[in-house]
Amino acid sequence: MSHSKPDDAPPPHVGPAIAGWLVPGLGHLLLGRTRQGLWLLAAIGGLWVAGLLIGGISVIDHQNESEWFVRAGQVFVGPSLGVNALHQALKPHADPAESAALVPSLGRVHEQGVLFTGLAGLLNLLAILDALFGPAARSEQREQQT
Amino acid sequence: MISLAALAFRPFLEPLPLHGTMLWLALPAVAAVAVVIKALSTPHPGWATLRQSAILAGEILAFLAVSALLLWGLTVLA
Repeated sequence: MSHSKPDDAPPPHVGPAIAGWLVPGLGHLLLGRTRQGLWLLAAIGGLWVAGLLIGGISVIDHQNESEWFVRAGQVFVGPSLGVNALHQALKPHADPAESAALVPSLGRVHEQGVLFTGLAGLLNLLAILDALFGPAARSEQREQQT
Repeated sequence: MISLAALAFRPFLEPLPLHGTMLWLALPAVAAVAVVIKALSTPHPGWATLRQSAILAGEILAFLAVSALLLWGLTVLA
């Protein structure tokens, strides 16, 4: 096992990391790691959209303090902030007597939506760190070669 | 009184009626975790990565099933 010198370490890719936060996988695409980017976009983006589809946009609600440990993960997918803003904008106009929309469902469908979007955020955190500090796969290969 | 229009399903605004199929939702979640882990640990993901992801997803599901059985056993014994 070799220990790389600090001089050998490439500078962190801040731009691609921010891009990866905005759109999962975009950071890897910008770094030329196209296949990884597309896989991440499909897996993380798909999980996040599936969470919204399962539970509705009410699964992203910063005013709801329950399940905060799962909700903390949601912020690592940038569009969650936009969905939260949309939810907060629509919520005052929703009339529970007329529509069930925007009212969190009583049951585990809502929990599943929160879980899916939170899990997508935590997985995107891994992808962001990988884009920021260089490919984990390549460093593993380097260690195997030495 | 809720009108008929209000009962119509509107994607992304109302939850999907999945109350009876809750456990099956573990499959896509576990698959996504496995795909992301394998995609990040492989420089050029391809079909082999998909197979490795399927194996990892199976291992995670097996671990979940064994854990569930153990916890269920504890509740029966207690």
